[in-house]
Amino acid sequence: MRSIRRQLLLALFATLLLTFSASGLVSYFTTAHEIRELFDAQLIENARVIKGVMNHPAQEVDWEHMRDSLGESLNEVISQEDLLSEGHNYEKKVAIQVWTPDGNLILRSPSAPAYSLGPLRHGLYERKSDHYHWYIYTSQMQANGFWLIVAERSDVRTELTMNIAASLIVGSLLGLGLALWLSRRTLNHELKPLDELRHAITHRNPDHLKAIELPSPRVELAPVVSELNHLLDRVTTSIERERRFLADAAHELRTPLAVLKLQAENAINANASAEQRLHLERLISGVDRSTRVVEQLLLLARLDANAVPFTPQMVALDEIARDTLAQLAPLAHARRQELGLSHDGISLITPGEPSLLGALLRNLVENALRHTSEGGEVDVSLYEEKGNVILQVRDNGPGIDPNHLGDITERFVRSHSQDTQGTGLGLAIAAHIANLHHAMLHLANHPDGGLIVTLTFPARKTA
Amino acid sequence: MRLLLAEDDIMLGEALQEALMKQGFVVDWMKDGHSALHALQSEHFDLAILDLGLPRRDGMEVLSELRRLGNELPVLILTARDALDSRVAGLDAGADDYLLKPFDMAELSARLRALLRRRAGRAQPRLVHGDIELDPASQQVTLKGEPVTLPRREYMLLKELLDHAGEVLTRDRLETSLYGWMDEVESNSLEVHVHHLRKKFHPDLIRTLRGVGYMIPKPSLGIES
Repeated sequence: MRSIRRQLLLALFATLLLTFSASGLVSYFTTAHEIRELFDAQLIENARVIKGVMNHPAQEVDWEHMRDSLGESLNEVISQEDLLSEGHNYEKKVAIQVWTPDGNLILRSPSAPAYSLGPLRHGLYERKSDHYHWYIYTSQMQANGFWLIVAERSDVRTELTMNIAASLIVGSLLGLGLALWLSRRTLNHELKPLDELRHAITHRNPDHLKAIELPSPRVELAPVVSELNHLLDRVTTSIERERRFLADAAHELRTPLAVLKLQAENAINANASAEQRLHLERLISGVDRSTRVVEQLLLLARLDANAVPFTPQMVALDEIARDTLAQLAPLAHARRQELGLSHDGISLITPGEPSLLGALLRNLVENALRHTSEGGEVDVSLYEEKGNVILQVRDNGPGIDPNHLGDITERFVRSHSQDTQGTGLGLAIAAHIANLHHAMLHLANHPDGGLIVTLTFPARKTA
Repeated sequence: MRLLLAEDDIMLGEALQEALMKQGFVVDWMKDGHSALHALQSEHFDLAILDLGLPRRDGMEVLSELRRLGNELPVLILTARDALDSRVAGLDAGADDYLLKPFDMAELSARLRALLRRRAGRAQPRLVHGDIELDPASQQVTLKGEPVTLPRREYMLLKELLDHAGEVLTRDRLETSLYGWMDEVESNSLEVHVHHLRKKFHPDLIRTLRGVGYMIPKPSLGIES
């Protein structure tokens, strides 16, 4: 994923690098150019001075003497070349040659080579000889027609230019580093509200949707936070509306069902014929079935909407099992089914919501009873294994088509299409409640036939 | 028996009134909480059925106002609200019983009669189950008209089970009502009593719900009259 921090730092780094490089290059070339101009001017000036000394008719100049004195003064400079004393670092390494117009070298300073440094033509030249790079100024003396060549080694110019370039680079690098370090610090500091926002959002859930307030607000984040708060507000409203709707729906659906049932019962009591009685009793069982679907749907919807009071307390599962089985005994009796509880009498305590656990077990046992033929058997067993409390419901019905085992806890999925009694919601409710209690719901076909539903409550942590 | 019915749903009110009148009650039907409370304060009733979701004054308000005024009238709450929360609240506010909509008329009338009996402190009526009859007043039990002599605990067990025919009574509950708190209970004595009762009446009179308790099934699922 793209990182704002990295992208910003990268962009900043690229910009700074480009700016520093460009300004460095421009400064370098300008400086090099200026240094050259300055040094060239000095070279010409020097040449002029020397020319002034030598510009006499040839026979009047004592060339021998001139060479000696020149050698002495220039040697003094050159011998100090290695002393590294500050004053001499930039002393120019100057060489002088004087040529006759017909090409004889009649004078040269000790530092000058014996070969010609440049062409005998008036002007400024640059020349690479065997060892050195020379800057050369050539001019002709009018008095004697001799050519004077004053040359200067490039060392000094190069060193000066390099020093300036080096300080430019070091300065740029320091600036770049400082700028990046500062930007990183600032960015980290300024992005802190994002962490605060993440933290605030993590701590929101459907039951806690308070508006978000950042400890360190930022103009850039304000619209996001404000939109989020609007959203939270809308979600809160819609959750409340949903819960209210569910409560209203419960009322509005149960009352007409009660009317239907009462009227059918009244009709039976009003001297109904045997045939009318049969139909009215069928009507009543239809109403009962609708009632069951409504109850199951409402419970599931309330579970979905987190509208069920869930405040776990320590409950005895064996008591819940006995109560639930007692409630379902008439159904088992009507279907001539054997219903029983296998439990060794030791109370099994687990944290949970009693009414929900009752609904869970009721759904599992009802399911087993409905899917077992008349005269069948349903056994509920309750025991402890490795600290886990385990509740098992086993029937000797047809079991579940293996292709359906995976999705049987989905809503409105039934194992058999001819099943007319189930609502298709029982196992979905069971799965939901199990999930609330962090319990594992497992369905399997028994090799000897029938279905085994196992509910495993996690081992209790010892306080 | 004069009964006050407070129910705002017209269709349900009509059906209930008709059914209750067939059961022999004189029914005054009020459609809001305010007039229900007014009627209850100014006239005599033996019993009241209160719907919780009443207009003008909520059923719960009517009930707590009634109790605040010292009226001890037996009240049954009828609610379409969910069993999960309103049950405790209703009983706390002084209701004697409650029933969730939709309900069986047989269930409602059985509960109303139980409330009336409890309030009057009257001896219970004869319990009839097929060819077995139990008269609580004389503590006589007959099978096909012939008297059957039962030891005290077998009689109490039979009466308890007949009283709650169609309901499974857990072992714990039966043992408490048979032996009280102080008596030592032998581990298999309940089974022994059940065994004796089956031998004396019918082998399948008492059904066992293994691991849970015992039940005498209702003779028929028809409606009491």
